[in-house]
Amino acid sequence: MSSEKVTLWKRITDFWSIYRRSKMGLVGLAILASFVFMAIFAPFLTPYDPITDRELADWLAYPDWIGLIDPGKSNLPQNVEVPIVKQVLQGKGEATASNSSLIQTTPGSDSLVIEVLDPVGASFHSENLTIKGYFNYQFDPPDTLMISIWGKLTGDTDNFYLKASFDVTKPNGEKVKVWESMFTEGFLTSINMGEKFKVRSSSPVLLMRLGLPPTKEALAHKVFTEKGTFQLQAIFEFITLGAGRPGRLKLELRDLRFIVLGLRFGVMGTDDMARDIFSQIVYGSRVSLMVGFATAFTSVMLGVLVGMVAGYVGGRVDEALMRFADLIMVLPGLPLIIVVAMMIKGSLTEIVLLLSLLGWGGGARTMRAFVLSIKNKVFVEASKARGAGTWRIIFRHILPAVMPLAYAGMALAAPIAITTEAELSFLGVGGSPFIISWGKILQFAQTRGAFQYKAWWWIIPPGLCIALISLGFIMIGHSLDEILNPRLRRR
Amino acid sequence: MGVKSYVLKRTAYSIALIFIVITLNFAIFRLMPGDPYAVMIREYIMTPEMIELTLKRWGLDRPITEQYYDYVVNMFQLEMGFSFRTFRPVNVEIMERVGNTIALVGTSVVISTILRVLIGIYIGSRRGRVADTVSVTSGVVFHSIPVFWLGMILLLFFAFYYQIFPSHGTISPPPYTPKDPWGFFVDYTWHLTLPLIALTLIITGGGVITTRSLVLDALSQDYVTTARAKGVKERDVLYKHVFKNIQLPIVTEAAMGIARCVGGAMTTETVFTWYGMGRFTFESISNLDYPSLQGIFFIICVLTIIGNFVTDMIYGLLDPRLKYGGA
Repeated sequence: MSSEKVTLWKRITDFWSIYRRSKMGLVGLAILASFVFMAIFAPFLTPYDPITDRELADWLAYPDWIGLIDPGKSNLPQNVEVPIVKQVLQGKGEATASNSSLIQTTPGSDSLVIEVLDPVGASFHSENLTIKGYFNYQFDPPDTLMISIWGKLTGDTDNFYLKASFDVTKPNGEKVKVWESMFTEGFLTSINMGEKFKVRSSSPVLLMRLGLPPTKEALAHKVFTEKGTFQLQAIFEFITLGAGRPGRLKLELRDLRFIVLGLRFGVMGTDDMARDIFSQIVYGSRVSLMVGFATAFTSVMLGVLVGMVAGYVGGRVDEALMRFADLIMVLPGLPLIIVVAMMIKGSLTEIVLLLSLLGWGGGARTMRAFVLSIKNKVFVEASKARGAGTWRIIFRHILPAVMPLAYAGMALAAPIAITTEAELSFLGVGGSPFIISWGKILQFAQTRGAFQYKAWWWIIPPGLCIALISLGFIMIGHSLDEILNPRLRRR
Repeated sequence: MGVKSYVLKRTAYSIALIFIVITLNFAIFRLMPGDPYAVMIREYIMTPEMIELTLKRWGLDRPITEQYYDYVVNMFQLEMGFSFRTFRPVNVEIMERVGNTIALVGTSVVISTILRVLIGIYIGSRRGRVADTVSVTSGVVFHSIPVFWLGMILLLFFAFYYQIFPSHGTISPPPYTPKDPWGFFVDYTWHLTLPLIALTLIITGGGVITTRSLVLDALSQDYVTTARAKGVKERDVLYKHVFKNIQLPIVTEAAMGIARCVGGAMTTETVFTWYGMGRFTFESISNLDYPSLQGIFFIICVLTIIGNFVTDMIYGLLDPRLKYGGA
C-alpha cells in the first residue's frame, strides 16, 4: 500500500521535473491556476452579486482607472454617499424642529425617533423638522443623484399627513430643490410599510415637476456647478388634519442618504443596470472552467473508450465505430446543439453532455491509431498468453498506455468546449438566467446597447478572458503533447 | 479504385448522410419534450373532437412510418412548414438568406486558405526567425479568441469609434440603396468587409500553424534534400516540391474550415446583423421558432455535406494515386 503511494508520488515528481522545463507549459499552467483561483475564491474577490446587485453606481460607469488612459476623465465622480441620519447621531449634522414642544427627537442607536404631538386635534396645522447634513465634493459634475429614505411610520396615521422635501445648498449659498414627496409616488407607502424608498434625479416625472429639461443629467448638473462643501437639508412636514381628537405620530428614521452615483466604479465599470462587471467576470469563470473541464474529460474519455475498443477488437466493430465517428464529425455541431438545447431547455449539465456526445470523434480516431500501434507489443501479448480476457487487457494494459495521450487531448478539447459554450450563451441558448457566464455578458452587451454607448469596458474583458483561458489550455496541451507523445519528442 | 468508383462512393456517402440528418431532425422533434403533440394539444381546453380534428389536420393520427415518409419527401422538396414568427414558409425565409451566408463563409474560406498557404510556406522556410515567432504567436492567439468577440471589437472600433464601416445590415437601407448593379456590389462589399475580416482572421489563425508544421515536416523529407542537392532553386523547392505535397492536408483543413465557419457565422452574423442564416438562427431562437430552426439545421447540414463532397472531389483531382487508379 505505502510502496504504491511512493511510486505514484515519484511518478508525479518525475513528471513535474520534465514539465517545468517547458516555458510554455508553465505559462499555461499559471493562467489556468489564476482562473481556478478566481472561480474558487469568487466571494472573497468581490462583495457584489453579479446579477442581483444593481444600482451600484451610475449606469454604464467607466472603470475606476479611466483617468490613466483618458486624463480628461480622471476627475469623474466616484460614488459619494452621505448618511445624514448617521451624521446627526454623531453630532456632525443637526435636527431642528419648528416647535420643540410638539416635536421631540430622540437619538437611538442607529436611528432617529421623531414623535409628533397634536394635543388638540381641532385645526389644520403644520409643524416641521429640518435635518441637515454636510459633505465635501471635489469631483466633476455627476449625471445622477439618488435619495434613499428608510423609515417607519407608526401611531395615529389618520390624524397626520407627512410631506417630505430635499434641498441642497451649494457652497455659494444658492439653494436647489432636489425632491419633494408630492412629486413622486410611493414615498408614503414605503414609509408606512417600513421599506426603503429611493428616488433618482433622472426620473422624468421629477424633472418635469421641477421644471427641468427631461435629460438624465439635468438636475445633477444644476446642483453640482462647483466644488466645495455642500449642505443637505431634508424637511419633514407633519400636517395635522384636525380629526377632532388628540393624536400622536411616531417616525423612526433609520436611514436617510444622499447618493452621488459614480461615473466610474470598480475594476471594470458597470453595465446598463449598474451591476458590477468585474463580479460578472469573476463568477463567470466558474461556468467556463466547469464546462471546459467536464466536457474535456467526458468527451475524451468517450473517445478513449471507443478508440480502445475499435483499435483492439478490430474487424466489423472497428468499421462500425469509425463510420459512426465520421458521422459525428461531419454534423455541424453548433446548429445541432442549438436545436436540441432548445427542445430540452438545456441546463448547463445538459449542454456539457451534448458537447461531449458531439466532440469525441477526433479523439477516438487518434486513440484507435495509437492502440493499433501498441496492441502487438510484448506486454499485451504476454498478458494474452496468460489467458487474460479482452476487457481485462483493455483496462489493465491498454488504458494506462493511452492515458498520457488522453491528458493532452483533454487540454486541447477544453478550449473548444469553452468557446462553444460562450457561443451558445451569446446566442441565448441554454444555461440558467440566474447564472452569469462570459458568453452571457457579451450577449447582454450586444443586445443592451454597449455599442451605442461605446462601452468598451463591457465588451473587452469577457472575450479577453475566454481567449486567455483557451490560450492557457492550448499551451498546457501542447507542452503535454511534446512531453508525452514520443513521436513529437524526436523533433 | 478508379476515379469513377471514388465519385460514386462519395456521392452515396453524402446522400446517406443527408438521410441521417433528416432522420435526426425528424426524431429530435418527436422524441424530445416539446413534440408536436405537446405543442398543439391542450387537453384541458380542447374537447376530444377538437383533439381528433387537430391530429387529423396535421397528419399526427397516422402511423409514425407514414409520417416519416412524408417528412423525407417534403424535405427533399424543401417543404419545411411555416415559421412561427412570420407565418411565411420556412423555405422562402431561408432562400432569402442563404446566399448572404454563402457569400460570407465561402469568401472567407477561400481567402483564409490562400493566406494560410502563403504565410505557412513563408514562415516554414524561415523557422525561428522573427516572422516565424510573430506568426505562430498571433496564430495561436487568433485560434483561441471567439470569432464573435473579435467581431464585436471590430464593430466597436471601426463602426462606432471611427465610422469607417457600417454598423449593421447587408446593404444600405432603402433610400440609400444603390440602384445600379456596380453600386450595389460596392455597397454589399462595404458591408461584408468587417464580418469577413473577423471570420477570416479566426480560421486563418489555426490554419497557419498546421500549414507551418506540414511545411517543416515536408522540408525534412528526402525528396527535398534530393532537390536541393540537384541544385533546384530554394524558391522552386518551396513552391513546387513542398507545395505539391502539402496540398491534400490543406484541402482537408479547408473542409473543416467550412464546418467551423458555418458555426462561427451564426454568431458573427448576429453581431453584424448580417441578413443570413446565422442571424436567422438567432431570431428563431429568441422567438422559439421551431420550424425555422429545423429548416436551418437541415440546410446548414446539407451545405456542410455538399462542402465536404466538393472537397472530396478536389481531393480526388489532386491525388495522383486516385487519378491513375493506384492505391
